[in-house]
Amino acid sequence: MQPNQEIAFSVSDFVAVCNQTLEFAYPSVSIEGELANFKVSKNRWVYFDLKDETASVRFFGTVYNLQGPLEDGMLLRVRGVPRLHPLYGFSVTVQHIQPVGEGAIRRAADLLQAKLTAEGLFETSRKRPLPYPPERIGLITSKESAAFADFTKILNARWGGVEVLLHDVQVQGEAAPAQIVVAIEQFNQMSDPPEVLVITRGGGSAEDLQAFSSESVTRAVAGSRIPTLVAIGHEIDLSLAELAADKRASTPSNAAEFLTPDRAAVLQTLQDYRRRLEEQSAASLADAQRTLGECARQLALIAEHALKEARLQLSSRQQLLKALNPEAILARGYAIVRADGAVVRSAKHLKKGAIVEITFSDAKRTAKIQ
Amino acid sequence: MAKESKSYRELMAELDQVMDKLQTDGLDVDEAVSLYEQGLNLTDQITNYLTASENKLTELKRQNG
Repeated sequence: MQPNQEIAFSVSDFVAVCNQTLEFAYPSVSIEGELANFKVSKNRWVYFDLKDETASVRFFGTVYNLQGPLEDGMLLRVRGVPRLHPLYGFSVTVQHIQPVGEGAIRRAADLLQAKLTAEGLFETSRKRPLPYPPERIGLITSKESAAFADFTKILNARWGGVEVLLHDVQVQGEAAPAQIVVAIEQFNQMSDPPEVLVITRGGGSAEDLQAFSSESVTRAVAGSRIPTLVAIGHEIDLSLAELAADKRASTPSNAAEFLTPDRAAVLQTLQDYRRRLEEQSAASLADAQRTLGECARQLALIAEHALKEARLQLSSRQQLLKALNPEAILARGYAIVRADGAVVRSAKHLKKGAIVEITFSDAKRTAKIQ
Repeated sequence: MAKESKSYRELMAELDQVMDKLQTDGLDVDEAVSLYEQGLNLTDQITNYLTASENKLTELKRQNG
């Protein structure tokens, strides 16, 4: 074939062929690079470049592709469809954006945290108390994870009789945020919803834990009508979902410990109370008995005293009475003179020859006055 | 019967009355003897009353340990 016999494409055809070729070769491609020229237009369209030392590629997407605010200089992994636009040239249509590397992930989380803090999502006043202990728990985690095993093991060891409704979700990867959001929404839409939602996973790299700092999951946690307890990773890992939750626990085990009392400790406390009650009632009873005994003794003393007093009064009167005994006077040599049955108090009442009756202490005699 | 139902206070009041009369000036000897008898009678009653009360108290103390 001669060069001048080459088929010439029309411009439109050429663009179409390029797009077909790209679609065949790279139906979807992931590219990692540094973010540059990031801008959001009309609150809807997102434009940016990814670049490295020698090259730069343009990207186009919508705000729905964003997990949170972004900033030039961040390292991103973007999955999308490469495409040659008929007018504006080459760009990649964004399907998914993910910050990569500790620095970018932290920076993305910081930016989102600042935005959501400004909205008041993490306000302490929003925090609601959790039921203690709950009867039904809505658990959102991966069924295969150590977090699930740890949480249920500790829960059953401590309390028991708690109903756990599991919503099995991926806790990392691209699909995780959407699945977690759906799980939260489905629990909230139940006609008989659980009393508390527990969202948990074990430790991992910053990238593994990213889903729990995504804007969608954080907003879903904050918006849940059911109170939430979020426990992600280890003590040091702090995700935005945990900040938005009503209560944060450091680990899955810690979440179970927080929700339920320790059966053994509760039993011990009850036994202590019981023993203390028994001791106290025994002590009060003994006290009452002592007081009563004391009262009885006092009463007896008072009664005895009153009787003694009465005896004294009586004996003083007896002595006086004895002194007043008229017969005692006769025994001392006095006699009573009666005339016509009446006591004679004066000699002038007696005429010569009158008959009188004389009463001595031992007998009576009759006499005639000379 | 009426004698038994009198209280200590009543008996003592009666005794005091008898003693007062017995100490009145110019008391007739016969009257004095009669009052003296009444006095003795009352002291006997009061003695019995007190003895009964003391026995009762001893019994109560025994019962209540």
